[in-house]
Amino acid sequence: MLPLNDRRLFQPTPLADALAALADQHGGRGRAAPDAREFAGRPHSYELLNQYAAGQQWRALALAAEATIQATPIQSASDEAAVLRLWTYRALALVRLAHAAAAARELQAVEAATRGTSVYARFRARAPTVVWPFELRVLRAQLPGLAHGDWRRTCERVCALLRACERRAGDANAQRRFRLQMLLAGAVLRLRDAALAAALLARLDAADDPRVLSACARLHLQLGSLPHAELLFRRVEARVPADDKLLLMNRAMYAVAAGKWAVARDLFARVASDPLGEPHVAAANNAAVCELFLGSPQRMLAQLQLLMADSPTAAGSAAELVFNYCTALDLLHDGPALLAEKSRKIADVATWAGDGFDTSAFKMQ
Amino acid sequence: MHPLEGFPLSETLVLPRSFGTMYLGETFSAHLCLCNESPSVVRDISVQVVMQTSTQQLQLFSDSSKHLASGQPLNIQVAHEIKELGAHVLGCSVHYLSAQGERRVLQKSFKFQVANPLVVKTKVNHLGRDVLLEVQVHNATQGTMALERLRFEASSPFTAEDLNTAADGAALWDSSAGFMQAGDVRQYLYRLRTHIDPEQVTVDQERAVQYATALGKLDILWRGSFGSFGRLQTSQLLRKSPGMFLLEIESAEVLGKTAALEEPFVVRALVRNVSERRMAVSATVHAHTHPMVISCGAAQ
Repeated sequence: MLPLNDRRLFQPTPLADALAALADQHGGRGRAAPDAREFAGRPHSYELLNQYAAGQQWRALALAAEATIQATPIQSASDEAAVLRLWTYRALALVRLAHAAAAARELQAVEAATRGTSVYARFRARAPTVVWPFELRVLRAQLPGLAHGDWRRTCERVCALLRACERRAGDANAQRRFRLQMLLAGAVLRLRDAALAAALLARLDAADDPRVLSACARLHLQLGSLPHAELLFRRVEARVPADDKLLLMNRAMYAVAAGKWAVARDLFARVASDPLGEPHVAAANNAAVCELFLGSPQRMLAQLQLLMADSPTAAGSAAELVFNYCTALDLLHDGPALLAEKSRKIADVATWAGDGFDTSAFKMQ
Repeated sequence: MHPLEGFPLSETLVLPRSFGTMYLGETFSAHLCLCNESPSVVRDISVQVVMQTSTQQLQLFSDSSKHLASGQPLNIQVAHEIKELGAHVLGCSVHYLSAQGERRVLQKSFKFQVANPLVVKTKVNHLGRDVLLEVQVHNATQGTMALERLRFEASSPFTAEDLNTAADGAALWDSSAGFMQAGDVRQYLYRLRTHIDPEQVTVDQERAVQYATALGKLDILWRGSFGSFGRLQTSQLLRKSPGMFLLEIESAEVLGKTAALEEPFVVRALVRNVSERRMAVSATVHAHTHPMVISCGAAQ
C-alpha cells in the first residue's frame, strides 16, 4: 500500500494549453507553460496555492500541489489530513485543465492508499472517502460525469454524500446539503431528465430561496413550460423588492421566452447599467444578444466588445461571451477579414484568460 | 462560490452551437447580413430571399435599388412557418452593379431537413352509435417539449367528449403535468357522439352516421427551448365505417310475463328497412339452432 505522498500516485501533469497554442498560431502571445523544475522538490504555501487558483493558473497549481504533496512528510494523522487537503487542489487543477480522467485515476489510487492510513484505521471507516475532506469527496463524486459522461454514477455518489449529510445537524451541514442537492439536480439535468431535475429543485431545503426559485423557473423556460415558469417568478416577486436585480433579470428572461426582444433588452440593459453595483456581466451579455434578435448583429458585436474591454477578466475571458462574439463575427465577416478579426480576439482573450479556456468558443473550423 | 453558480442553466444567454433539427410546424427564422467590404459604393443592389421545398418556391424577402457605402451592412430577417417535411433550401441572391459598372450576382444557400416532431396513432372502438377514439402521441424529437395544447375537433355528424380527466374532474394532461421528454408517449381518449334522438332518427340520418369515416382533427401546440413553439393540425382521423345491414332489428320482445311449456307465446320484433328499396320481409325460426321452439306462424 502506497503512502499518500508517493510519487507513483501521480499522472503526468499536462502542461500544454490549447489557448496558448492557438494564440501562438495566430500571432498572439499565449501564457507560457510553467517550468516543472521550478516547482519540484519543495513545498508551496497555501497562500500561493490559493493565488494560483484565483488567477486560474491551473497548470501551476497542479505542479505546486504535486510538489507540496511529495514534500510533505506523513508522521501523524494531521499530516495525512493536510496531504488529503492538498490532493483537493491537485484534483481541482486537473479538472479545470479538462483532464478529469487523469484526476479520476489519481483519486482512485489515493482511495486505495487511504486504506493504509491511521486516520482510516482510527475511524474504522467503511469506505476510504469518509475520511477525506468534504471538497475532495465532492470532486470525486463529480468525476464520473466530467471524465466519462457517466452522470448516473455521479448521481449515485452525490446521493451517498447526501445520505451522510442528512445524518448530521448544524448550519455548515445544511449548506453542504444544499450544495449537494444542486449538484444532484445539475447531474440529473445532464442525464436529460428535465422533469426530475425540476422536481428535485422544487424539493430543495432552500426551495423558497429566490435564487433557487429563479433557477427552477429558468429550467421551466428552457423546457418550454411558460405557465409554470411564470408561477415561480411570481413567487420570487413576492419575496424580493420591486427594483431587485434578480426580479428584473427574471422578467427579462420571461420576455425572451415570450419573444419580446425589445422588452427583454431594455430590462437587461437596466440591470447592466446600474452605476452603483458591480458590473453584471450576464445582463450586459444578454442585452447584446437581444440586439441580434432585434436585427442588429453590429450592435451586438459592439456591445460585447465594449463589455469585454471594460471587464477583461470577468467578461473578456468568459467562454460564453467569446462564443457569442465569434458568432456575430461569423455573421458579419467572411474569408480573410473573419480570420483577422478572430485572430485579434484570440490574442485579446489569451492576455486575460487562465489555463484550460474552452477554445471551441472561437469557432475556428 | 454559491452552489447555483455551478448549475448547468445560468443566467447567461448563449447562442446555439449548431442549427440543430427543424421540425414540421415550427417557424424557421434567419438573419442575413449583406456587407459591402469593398472600398467603394455598390449600387443597384437587389436582394431576393426564397424558400425552396420539394413542391414550391416561396418568396420571403425582396428589395431592390439599394446602395451600400463601403463598410455598410444590410440586415435582413426572414421567418417562415414550416409546413412540409423533407429538404428545404433557403436561397439568397444578390444582384448588384460593381464599381466598374459590371452587373454581378452573388448567391448563397442554406439547406436543411425538416423532420416530424410528433407521431400520432389512433385506435377506434364502437360503442353502439358512439365512437371511442384512442389517440397516442409520441415525441419524436430529440429534445423535451411542453405540450401546451392538444385539442380534438370532431367532424360532423359527431361531437367529442374529452375523457382525459381524473376522478375529481381535473385534466390529466394540463400544463402542470410536466414535459414530454424525447421518446415519451401520451395517450388520450375521446368519446364521439351524435346528437340525433334515437327515437326520431331517420334512415338518412342513420345512414350518414354509420357511413361517416372522418372523425375529426387534432390541433396540437407545443413549446420547446425558451418558448419556441410549434403547431400542427393533423389531417382527418379516419375510421373504417361500420356500415349498415339492409334491415335493422330495432327491438325484439316476448309478450307477456312468462312463456309456458307446450303453449304458444308471441314474440314481437320491430324491423326497419334502412335500405333504399322496398323489401318483402319474412321471419323464420331455425330448427337446428332452436330445436325446442316450433314456429306457429304470424300472430293474429
